[in-house]
Amino acid sequence: MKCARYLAALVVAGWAMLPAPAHAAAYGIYEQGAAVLGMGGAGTASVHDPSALFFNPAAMTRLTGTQVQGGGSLLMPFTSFAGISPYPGYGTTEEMEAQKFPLPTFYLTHHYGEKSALGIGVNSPFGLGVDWKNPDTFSGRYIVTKADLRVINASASAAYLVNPKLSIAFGGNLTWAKVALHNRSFTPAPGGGGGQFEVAKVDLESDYTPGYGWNLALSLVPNKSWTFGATYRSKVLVFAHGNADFTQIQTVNATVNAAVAAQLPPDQPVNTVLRFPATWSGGVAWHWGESWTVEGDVNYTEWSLFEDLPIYFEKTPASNERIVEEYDNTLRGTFGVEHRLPAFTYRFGYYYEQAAAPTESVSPILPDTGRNGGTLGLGMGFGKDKRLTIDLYELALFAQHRWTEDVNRDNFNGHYRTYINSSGLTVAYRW
Amino acid sequence: MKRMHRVIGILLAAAAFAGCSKIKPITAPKAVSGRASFSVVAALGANLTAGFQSGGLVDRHQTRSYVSLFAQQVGARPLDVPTINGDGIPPLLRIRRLLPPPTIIDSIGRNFGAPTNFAIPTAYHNMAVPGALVSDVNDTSTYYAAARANPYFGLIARGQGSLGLQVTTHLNPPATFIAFQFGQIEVLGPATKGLGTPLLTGVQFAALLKAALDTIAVRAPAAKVAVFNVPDITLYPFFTTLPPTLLDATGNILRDANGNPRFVLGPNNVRLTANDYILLRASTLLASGYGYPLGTYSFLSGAPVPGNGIGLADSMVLSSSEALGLAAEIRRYNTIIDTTTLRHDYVRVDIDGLFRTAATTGFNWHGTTYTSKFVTGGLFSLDGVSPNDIMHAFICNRLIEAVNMRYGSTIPFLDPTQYGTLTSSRGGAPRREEAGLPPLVLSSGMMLRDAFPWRDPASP
Repeated sequence: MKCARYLAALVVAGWAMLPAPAHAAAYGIYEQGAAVLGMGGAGTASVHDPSALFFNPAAMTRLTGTQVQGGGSLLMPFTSFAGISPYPGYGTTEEMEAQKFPLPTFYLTHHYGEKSALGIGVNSPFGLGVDWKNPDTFSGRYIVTKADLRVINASASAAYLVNPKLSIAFGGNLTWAKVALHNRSFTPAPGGGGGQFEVAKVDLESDYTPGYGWNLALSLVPNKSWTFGATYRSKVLVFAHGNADFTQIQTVNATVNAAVAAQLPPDQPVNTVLRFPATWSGGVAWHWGESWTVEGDVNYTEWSLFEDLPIYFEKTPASNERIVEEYDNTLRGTFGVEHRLPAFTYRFGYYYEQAAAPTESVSPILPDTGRNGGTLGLGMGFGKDKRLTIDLYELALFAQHRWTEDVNRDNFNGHYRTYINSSGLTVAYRW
Repeated sequence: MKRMHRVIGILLAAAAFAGCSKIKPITAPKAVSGRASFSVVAALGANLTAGFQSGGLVDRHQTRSYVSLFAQQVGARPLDVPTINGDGIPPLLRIRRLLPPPTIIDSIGRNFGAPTNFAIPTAYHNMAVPGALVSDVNDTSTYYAAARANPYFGLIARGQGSLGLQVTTHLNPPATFIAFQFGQIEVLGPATKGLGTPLLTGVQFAALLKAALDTIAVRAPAAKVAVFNVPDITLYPFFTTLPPTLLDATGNILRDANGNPRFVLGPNNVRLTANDYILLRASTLLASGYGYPLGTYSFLSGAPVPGNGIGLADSMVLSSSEALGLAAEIRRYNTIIDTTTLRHDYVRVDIDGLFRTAATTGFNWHGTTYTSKFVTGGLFSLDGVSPNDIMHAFICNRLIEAVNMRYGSTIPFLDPTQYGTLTSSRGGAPRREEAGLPPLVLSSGMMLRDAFPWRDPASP
């Protein structure tokens, strides 16, 4: 249990620095367990460690005794942008700050009697970290200079072995989320000529606010060669409350400065709605002999829930804003292989996921795109009966080159290129 | 075993670093002209195409008319434009005062400009003439008639033949692409005088438009033509800035004891209705108490002025029925433009739709919403009917969009924010419009006489 406490401490420390980049479609993060990620994220059917709490809670009935797993991923995204006409124009390039996001996970499962299992866990299944370089000159600063979405999700599930072949599970999620959005405000020159002045920094930041969801899962093992799994995680809505700060930027024109000072909204409370979509997952695993597992998964995420990001100002409702998103539901296909050797286990996998953002919504806030991911994984057991296991994975995610096709809602058009590297490690122990 | 570890290590390192380079800047693709040629761009039209702004014609706006912007964007031969220096002809309106309210707009103290390339031996590429009608494309008989007394024809047409003749035969090399914009003055001219009858009926306009385009097709068979349709008159701030309701000192609507709005007195001292339009040039009259019933006050001058109980003249008001009549006529014009354009391999440009967007949702561009609101909306110049530089950029983009679709060309759009200026007349310090009081436009009689010189009733 000393090991469990150590892992828990590491995980808590990780969450303290949590802003995370979107890694699955939109702002979803699927990096929740190193062993499954080694197989490209294909684990709905065959997951066999405590990360089952995320990938398929019904599979907890196959985990013996008490098991604890902690660790996480280090995500390193890199996004750059090249503009086209009319705005910001050909030849313009921008890039985000190189960032490193630790993404901790912690799971604890316990098997009760012959048929039941319980699990609790903490992870971060959603997140976003956008930080454009040179915010004072970034050509899209009227849209965003920096955006963070931080999510901490605590889940608890109970699994029951209905018969030797079928397990089911039900659980709940308590999701805390906070969001921050920073941009610059422009105003037309009051003389009517259409010229613009950059007049204010706008900083919106909410507090951590909870939302609630639930999940269902089943696991079917008809014979030694095949395993089937399915999960459903419900949507979560978070009604976040925070503050809006407006900081005036002085222009060279004193008259404009005076006018802006008189018209700038006061700092004030602000409210918004954060939407985290429901996800359906289904997987089939084929076990070849004792040492090979091959799995294919399909995930369906109801991103159409993300219609908009409304911003309600309490003191100046005339300033209310609705950032239209109108995302589409997405499919993700995953394929993974695990080969268990006496000394170690290696894994590899691949996945493809559709973009959730329609072309009109591809913006500096979230340049969402379809993506291909290739993963490699390694697992090793230590000690008596290999009770201590360490799993590693490396994922190279090649987001598709995406361009806005001249239809971006904010008239900020160009091509985005994103690459994300993710490495992860989990340490598990079973009693 | 060691080999496997080494392989895994190499794969991990390769995956970690592959593909993480920054995107390269995109160079502008070479514009493809498609089925059209843009080597020589020319224009026929009226105020809009001439680059008329803030009640006058001046080089700094002429060279930023949508035609000039389009020619630059397609890399056409530099346009010869009948440029006028100084403060323009007539001197442009400017913002005299923005604070304290009301905003005061006039042209006092500005000087007449002069033509700078009057002696050019060929025709101008931009042969648009403020106040021109579609009949002027082929007809020279009314240019210099006393009834019209339009000085711009002397400056631009210069007695060298009809506008259409000059554009199609006097340019060397000849025009390969012609912007054609008529119909605006035919309806806007009467409307700005409070009249509801267009200068040309739909039937007359159809015949003249057909004749004009057929003539161009014969004289310049290789040229493509972009034909602009006609915006509804209620889309101009000239008609929408002054509400028909009485306003208090803060610009709010005055209401009676029952909460109903109180309306300005119109012709024959009959109260206007919510659907009537007060012309922008009535602002000085309203500010001095005209239109306000006895016992009420006008605050438009910035101080309370007792109402004199005298209703506004008919020439200061466009009634709802007149506006509806003109709107119906404009729809006929636009239908005719659609069908006539289709008869040739020409393209129709929908600026009626563009103006409608400006007047309703506005344009969200670079974090700013531009609208048709007078002065502060950022799209119209100080005469209330002429687009400013940035609106010309939006019009140019609409032209590019239409041309690209019709001819398969790939002309890049331009960034309108590059054409924004501090004030509509590019001079003077900008100031904030306080309260809701509409601007006070002085010199408006002169402004309109020069904008629509062919028929200007006596100033009030």
